[in-house]
Amino acid sequence: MKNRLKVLRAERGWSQWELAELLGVSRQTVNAIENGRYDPSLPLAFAIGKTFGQAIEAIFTPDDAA
Amino acid sequence: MEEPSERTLLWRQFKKRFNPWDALNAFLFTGSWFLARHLVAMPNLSHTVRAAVAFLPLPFLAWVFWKEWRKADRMDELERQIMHRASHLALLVTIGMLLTLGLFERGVGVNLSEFGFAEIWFLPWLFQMVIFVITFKRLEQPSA
Repeated sequence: MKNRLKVLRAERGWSQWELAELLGVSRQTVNAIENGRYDPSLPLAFAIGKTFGQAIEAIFTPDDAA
Repeated sequence: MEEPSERTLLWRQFKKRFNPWDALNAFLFTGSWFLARHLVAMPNLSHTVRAAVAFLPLPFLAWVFWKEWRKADRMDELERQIMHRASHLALLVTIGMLLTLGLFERGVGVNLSEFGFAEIWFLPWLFQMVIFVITFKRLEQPSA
């Protein structure tokens, strides 16, 4: 799954630590999601969407999407 | 409200993971194990006393059990997933080790009489920690 987390975070000038704090997860989790190493659970994906004020599908895209 | 600095956030994350009581308990557990190991080998102590001494490290291990139980609730989803994977793989590695040692003892005639439970009890724990750290470090790398 691809995502725009890194871009959205950079736009707001947040560090991975800050975003992790906002989401209530570890910095490693944020890093792993940004690197495409880990796909978050649905609750975490919703929390990410809420944090950035965007829908989940605006942040996450399936690999096979055109 | 002022936004916390990166250093503050780093400290908060560190505090979430590190507890001085855990460090003290780890020290006491290790100390009690070495003490028990020494005492149970003393021939001048009675059998009953030596049997009782063998239980010496268990209260400290019970503390670890309690803390791990509570920590599992506080782990985030990735940490929980990695810990689950590490436990599963550590179990398999332990089975592989015991199985091979058993076959060595039986078939190749390797004398393992000096290599008992007292020497290998911590290995599953060690395997789990090593696999946990490797997996976590691997996640730090960008995917191909």
